Amino acid sequence: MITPQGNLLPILQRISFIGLVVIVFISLTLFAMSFDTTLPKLKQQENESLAKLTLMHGKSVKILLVKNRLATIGTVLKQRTSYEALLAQISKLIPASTSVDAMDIGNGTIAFTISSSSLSDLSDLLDTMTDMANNKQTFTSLHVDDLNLSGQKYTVIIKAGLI
Amino acid sequence: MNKKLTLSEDTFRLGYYQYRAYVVPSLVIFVSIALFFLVIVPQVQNWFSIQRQIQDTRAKVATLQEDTARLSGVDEGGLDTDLQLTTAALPPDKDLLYILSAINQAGVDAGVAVSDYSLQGGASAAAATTEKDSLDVLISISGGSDSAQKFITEVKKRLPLANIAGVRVSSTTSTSVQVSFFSQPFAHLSFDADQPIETISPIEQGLLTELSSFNKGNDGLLDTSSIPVPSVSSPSQ
Repeated sequence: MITPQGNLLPILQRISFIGLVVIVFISLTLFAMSFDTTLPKLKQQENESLAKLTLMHGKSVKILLVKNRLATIGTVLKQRTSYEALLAQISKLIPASTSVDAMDIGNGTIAFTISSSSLSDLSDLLDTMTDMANNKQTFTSLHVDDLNLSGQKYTVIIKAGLI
Repeated sequence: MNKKLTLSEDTFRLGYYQYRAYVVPSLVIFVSIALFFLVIVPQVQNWFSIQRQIQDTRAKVATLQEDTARLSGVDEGGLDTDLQLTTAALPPDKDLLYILSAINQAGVDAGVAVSDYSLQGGASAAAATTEKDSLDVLISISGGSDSAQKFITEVKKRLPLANIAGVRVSSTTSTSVQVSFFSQPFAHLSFDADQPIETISPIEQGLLTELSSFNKGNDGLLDTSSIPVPSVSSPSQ
């Protein structure tokens, strides 16, 4: 026959009482907290704010459209080539005795045919352009494709890579 | 050796009377534990969830109120002008009349005769999307590299935005310039109530100022007031 320990019952009773009190207390607290109106009030504020914002729908759409287009415009402006500056630079490089017969700029390269009666002027021009290519200034590479003499004129075809 | 164990009714009764004082407290403890796990824990979890919702909603309300205040300070007339300017710079479609007028005006301002045009880009697949698209126009102008330089400078100062794709100087009297004109259909926009609406930033304002300096002689060519404003999905509630 099992005999209960004498001090086990009061301990069990206390534990059950305390447990019950704690459960009731927590339940009452949670019940009281369920009456918290913060969330419904905030939801109402949110709806009011959304209603106000809806009145400014047109403005927000226009802002988004302008920003969207400006993003592309910014990219286009950054990526634009400055061939007019290149043309101006080449005009400065070409000596007075030399003329540009043909020029083709595109896809990062320039090819031009120049002619002059002075071989030394052509040589100076090639030296200058070679220095520029070596210093990676305007040109990345330089090739002289053809050099010939026709009558009293020397003609040279130059191809260069652009920076 | 198997010994059969039997519990008689008397044994149960005897056990019950001996331990009946333990039944009620044990039952209370059991019920308390059950209540704790079945009711209290879910309720506490629910409370934390509500607190999170409150925090999120507070942030959303703050964002909405900031958006409202910010948008209230924005001049709608100025926005219309900005939208017209950006649309003039980047038309929603390839408006040939607008492009050709810009080319002619650039020729007039540069003092070169524009003799011929050749369109090198047609309607592309990108026209159906919201991506940037371009139309290449090969333009023959009178003069050599000096004329090309002036013409390119004028084209680049003008709206719609254009980029010079190539230059071919054939002689001192004839040059062809390949110009790419850009267009971009209106984007399908949607805005999220959780995300603040940013107004035009100083960098973007700088771009607009730059664009407004481009807009010479093209006023009225593109009637941007009739631009259909795309619908925006309703903010999430």
